[in-house]
Amino acid sequence: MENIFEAFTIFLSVQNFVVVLAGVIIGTIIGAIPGMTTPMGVALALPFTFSMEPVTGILLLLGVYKGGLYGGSITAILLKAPGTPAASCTVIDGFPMAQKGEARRALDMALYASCFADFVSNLSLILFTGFLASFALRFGPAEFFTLIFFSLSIIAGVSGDKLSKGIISACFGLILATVGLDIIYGTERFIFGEPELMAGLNFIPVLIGLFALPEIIDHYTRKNTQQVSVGALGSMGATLRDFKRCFKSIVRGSLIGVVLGAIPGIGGAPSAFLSYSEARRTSKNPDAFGKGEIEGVAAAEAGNNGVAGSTMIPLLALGVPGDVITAVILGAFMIHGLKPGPVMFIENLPIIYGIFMGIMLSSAYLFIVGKFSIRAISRIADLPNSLLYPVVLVLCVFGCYAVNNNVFDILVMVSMGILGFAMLRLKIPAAPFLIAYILGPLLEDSFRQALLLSDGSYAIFFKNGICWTFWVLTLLSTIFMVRSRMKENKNNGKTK
Amino acid sequence: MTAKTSHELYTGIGVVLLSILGYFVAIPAGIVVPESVDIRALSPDFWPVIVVFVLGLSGVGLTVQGLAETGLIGGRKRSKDGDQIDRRSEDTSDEYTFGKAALRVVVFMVILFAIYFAIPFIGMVAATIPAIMFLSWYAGEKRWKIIIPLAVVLPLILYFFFVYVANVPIPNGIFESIG
Repeated sequence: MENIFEAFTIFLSVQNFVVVLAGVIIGTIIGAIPGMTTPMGVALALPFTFSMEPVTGILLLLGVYKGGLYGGSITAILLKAPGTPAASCTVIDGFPMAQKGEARRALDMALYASCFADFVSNLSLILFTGFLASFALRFGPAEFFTLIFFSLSIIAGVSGDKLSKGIISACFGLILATVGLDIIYGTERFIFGEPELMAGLNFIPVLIGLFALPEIIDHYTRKNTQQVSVGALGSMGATLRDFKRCFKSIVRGSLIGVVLGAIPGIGGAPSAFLSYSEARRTSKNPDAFGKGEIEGVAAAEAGNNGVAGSTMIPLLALGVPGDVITAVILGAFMIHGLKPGPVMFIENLPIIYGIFMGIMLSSAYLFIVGKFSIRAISRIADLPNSLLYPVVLVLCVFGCYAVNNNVFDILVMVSMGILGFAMLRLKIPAAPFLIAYILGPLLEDSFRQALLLSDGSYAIFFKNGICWTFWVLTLLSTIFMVRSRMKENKNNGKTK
Repeated sequence: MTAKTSHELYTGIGVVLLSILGYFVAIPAGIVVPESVDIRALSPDFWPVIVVFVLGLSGVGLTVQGLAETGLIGGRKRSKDGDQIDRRSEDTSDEYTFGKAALRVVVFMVILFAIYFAIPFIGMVAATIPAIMFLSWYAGEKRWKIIIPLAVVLPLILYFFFVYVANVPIPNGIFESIG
């Protein structure tokens, strides 16, 4: 009770209310701009949180994340250009609705489904995180090693079309994470006489370099052919009757999102597609799907946004990110001197409750922003890339410098941008790099701490049921992901 | 051999070479291993060696995939139709030719490094204003009445935010006395 009271005092400030709103608006705008991604938006917002209180800073990023998830559906419906990968499912019925002059109705339904699913997902976060964290208090270095090893298997889920490329990307991230002084012996690793590298590479320049710069560089290799124009929204919005008709699919999609979101590595896109296919399978009128069926929009958006809160469960309870955005948010926690995981539930419980309150507020803001500013935000998709990308570049430069007041970080960002661009062109995904870069030190430290405790005996990693559970989960998730990838490739082959 | 599959093959070979370079050159030259290491797994180079090993294996895997897709092993060469579909799936219609695209990337890099080297001398605001102007124009924007105000106002807003709100001292270079 005392903790809840303290959480209220942390949370109830004008700054928090303004910042969450700003985050949702920024995220919705970023999500609505084709070519801008939510991780990019969170990365660009991160340096602006340095001067804020930890809760305020984290809430800004969560607002951007949630806004970005919803914003992706705006251009998916209006332009057939999904702002996020997960919004590609919304295109299937959203765009045909827009073509029929029902864009406003589709956008309204996307908003209602998103907000409902987001709310359900937030509730699951609040209800389940504490239980998981109290269980994780029993973990020692060996258990953490197996847990993080399991979390690394999420790389398979973000590897794009080739698993080997995902692993290659992850190896680059793991190697880069070793730069600096060795934590046990204090000797140099890949410093090559450069004193700036002694503390390792800062997370933000690496993040911005990998996620923002390659897109900008890539833009300059393409002709300026951007001629998108947002059509009329239409006057008829979604009615209560529409919502009631879609309610079953929205609830089902929300629950699918909650479950899949809590499993590291799955993310919003598979959840949206599973929710959509279930809605179609159980519909009385499955043939209407794909031709502008409002229930299709509702199911896709519910599945997509249902993951928003639950992806935070493994992050807050165990300290391991479920996807690339929560990996960025994990970095933000660390920058603010907080370490998510079971210990945080003992030492900083009011902060966690404060974050829960802010997350619930963000759901309400999402509804308000979506309802009243949809017309203005949808116009932002018209913003020419020729102005957008130079602006983003300058944000990157200021943001990277502000991390440590160090020009060297700009050089790191530029170098990572070049590497990121090469990876983009070689179709090596960047997400495994970042996840491995963040998890790498945690993995290595827990590995070495465990071996120090056991005097070098590897048996410590198989000492109890928790370790075995994570080994089995790693094996199962790898088999599952490889099998589903093979199935996907086979289906693609048949389509061709 | 299609462009895509040869691309995979060369990427795989490149990664294998990189891992060999890492194992034989970068790790011995870049990691100081103390003599007092009793347990091999606690050595500072233990983890990087494992990662480089996995990198090499993944490179081999990608090379084998590339070879299989080109039909050099396993007899899985793609049909002519399949190749056509493959090529179509990579939309390159809005791209410049390779030479022009490469030149534009180089120009962009020059601007990035110019910003980096200019900051200590002329400060961050003065370095980014001409960069925004040039990059907007280079990206095809010709409306100077939008470019110029944007290029001036944005860095100034960011400067005031970081200096007066976030308390981050943004470098001013030779304009230090004005800042």
